[in-house]
Amino acid sequence: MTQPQDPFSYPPIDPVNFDLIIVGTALSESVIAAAASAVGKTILHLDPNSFYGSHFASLSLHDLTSYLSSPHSLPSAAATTTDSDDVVVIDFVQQPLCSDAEIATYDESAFLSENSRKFSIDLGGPKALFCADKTIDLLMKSGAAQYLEFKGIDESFVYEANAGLANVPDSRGSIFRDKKLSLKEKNQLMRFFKLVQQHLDDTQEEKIPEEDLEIAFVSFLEKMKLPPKIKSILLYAIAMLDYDQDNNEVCIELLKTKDGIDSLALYSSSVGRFPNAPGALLYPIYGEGELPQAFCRRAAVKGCIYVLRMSVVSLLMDKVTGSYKGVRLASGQDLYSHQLILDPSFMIPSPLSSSPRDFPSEKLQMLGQRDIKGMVARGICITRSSIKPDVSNCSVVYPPRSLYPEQLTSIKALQIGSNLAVCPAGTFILYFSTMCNDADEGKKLLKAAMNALLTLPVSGNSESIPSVQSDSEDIKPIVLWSAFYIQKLIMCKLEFISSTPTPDGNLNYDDLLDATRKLFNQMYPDEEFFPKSTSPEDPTDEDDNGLTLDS
Amino acid sequence: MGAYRADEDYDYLFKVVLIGDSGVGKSNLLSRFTKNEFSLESKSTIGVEFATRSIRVDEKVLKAQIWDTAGQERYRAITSAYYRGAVGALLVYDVTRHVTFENMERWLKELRDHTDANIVVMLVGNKADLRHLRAVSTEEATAFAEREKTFFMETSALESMNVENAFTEVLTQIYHVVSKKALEIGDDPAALPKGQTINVGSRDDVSAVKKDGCCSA
Repeated sequence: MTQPQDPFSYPPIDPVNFDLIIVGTALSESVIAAAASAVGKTILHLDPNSFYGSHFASLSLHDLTSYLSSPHSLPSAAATTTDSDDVVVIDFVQQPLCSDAEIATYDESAFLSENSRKFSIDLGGPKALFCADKTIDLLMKSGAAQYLEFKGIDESFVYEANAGLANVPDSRGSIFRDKKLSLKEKNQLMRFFKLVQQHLDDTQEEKIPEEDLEIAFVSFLEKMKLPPKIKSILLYAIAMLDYDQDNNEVCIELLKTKDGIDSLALYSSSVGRFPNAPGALLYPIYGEGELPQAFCRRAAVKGCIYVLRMSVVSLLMDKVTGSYKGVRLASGQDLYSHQLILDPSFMIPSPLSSSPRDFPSEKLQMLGQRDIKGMVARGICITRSSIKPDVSNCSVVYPPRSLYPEQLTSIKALQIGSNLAVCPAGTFILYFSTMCNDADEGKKLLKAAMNALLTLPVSGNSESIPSVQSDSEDIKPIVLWSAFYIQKLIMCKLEFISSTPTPDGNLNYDDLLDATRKLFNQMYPDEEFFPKSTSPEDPTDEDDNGLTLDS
Repeated sequence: MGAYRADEDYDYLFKVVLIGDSGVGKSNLLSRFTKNEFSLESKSTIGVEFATRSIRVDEKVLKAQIWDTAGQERYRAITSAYYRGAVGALLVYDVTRHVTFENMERWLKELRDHTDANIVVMLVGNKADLRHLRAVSTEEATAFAEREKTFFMETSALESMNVENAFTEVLTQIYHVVSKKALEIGDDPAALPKGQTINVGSRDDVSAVKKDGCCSA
């Protein structure tokens, strides 16, 4: 990462009073900045990094390595001022969201170094959008779509034990063409899709009974007498579930039938929505980091003020009432706002020993307590060849127990090639992720998934990874470079200070944006989320608006 | 997509970006060239996305899509996405404020880090009408432009001096680069066709399909 210049060489921020101050430019923060700007709020949007996106950024190879390797540290304020008469100053602590990073370069280090800037690697990957996602609708509604271009993900695969990659049959045509499904399996799947289609069709009277909609989806599929292979595809490759639905002891989220049907509906309505998208998924050209930037540009056009390379070091609270007043920047400047949104890595230390005796500190105790709802283990690989010949961009799901018997979670993977401008020609980036309870468990899962499809050069701890049979038809791509890291899942809210959701384990963004919209509604209950308006300031050139999809 | 050819009202669409410190006159250069308007209001750029204007060169209609910063340059917060696909750039400083010229080197580095090597760059010294306040000599700027291999012009958005010339020169040079590159791509069997671009946001039923004439970045 290029060394940030003297952060205090900026002019002081002017004005000093805002409706909202936002710290961090991740996707949620950026969406809220755009939504609040659209309804006329005055906003200051800061990021301590020299790049946009926070945990949703797409970085060069060098910047990614630096980001994962170096722990964050908050600079102390340039001007050491004492508490003024009416505010209490409480210093922030910054706890990195990423931890347990392991980075290794196996081959071609000179090539990788020379081409660092040709990489645009997602911190929160694997991430993609379904063509029928609510995210697509939000991009259009907000106007952010005009800054983005997408391409379709060519193929979707599911990993089968001892058999390798099988196509996800996601349409009538693909079921017909599939070479690995038996005729009986094809008929079963066709009948099931037809049943779902009829259920979703408002003109049809034949519906799935209400009592069936409330039972576990896995039970419903068994009731339909679908074979295990089909069940696995529906549950993990199409509904994208994380946890083993057949294991009642450990299954944290047992999906109901009605939610399963909704997942199938999203998937099936995604296939074919855009003429040039071969499958259900889209990916932004240049990486997922383009998404927060698109919303930030949208906010800036509406008057939001942007500052990079500027952190906040302290919270300013009213001395008497204990309510929020503002923040102190690393430059020493104090700024005030009605509301504050914080990147989830910013925290208040729990024991407030330095606060005055009569200060009502119970409120801050709540902010110090973070709900850690789980962890996502992420892995990234760079290869010289594709996991599937002649396929540049594809997604892969490893259902529970497809790698080894004790595998309790799904693993998601995404391969992106150079035609999406995220890596040099002739290379591929693969992203892996899975839910886990601790770092060792997560990395074990990821390494097993990688070894199934890639040749990961032998390292000391590879012996502990269960060996997996590989598809002998294909030569495995060799990994040039890899990274592993753990991201925490955190959420909390306290009156005028909010914290945005962290990147989750989902492939798409819908859950995250639902949480973001809820946060916006809590903050501004009387305002509409991106109201439709034809602003005279917006460009009238229609040809330049709208979502663009490259084939 | 920086440059593509269409059969409609233009032959080429070129994305051009304006960069430079706050207050040097980028927005007024843009409004002067595209709408022949000037504003003495000095507030940071709000509301302007980009503006377009077409010119004719060698019997070809070149449509310029010129992007403004939306004020994000004030605290050095221009998105990397701003530079995507740009085939031309105006690097603007204020001749009456030497610090804005000193920052040209940093802006040029940021530009080079985010764009294709073939991008056409014009160094622009604006506010040349304020002769008695000049702080950057023409010789100094010419030397910088020669050293950095950029074009150079002094302008006045207020007096409309050289504004037309600056943009026209950039667009003409882009056209030459594009024409030359198109010939080279034709000879290179390794050049992959980029395929078709379709706008799916504004119109669900897309009738106009635009083909790439060349690629950048």
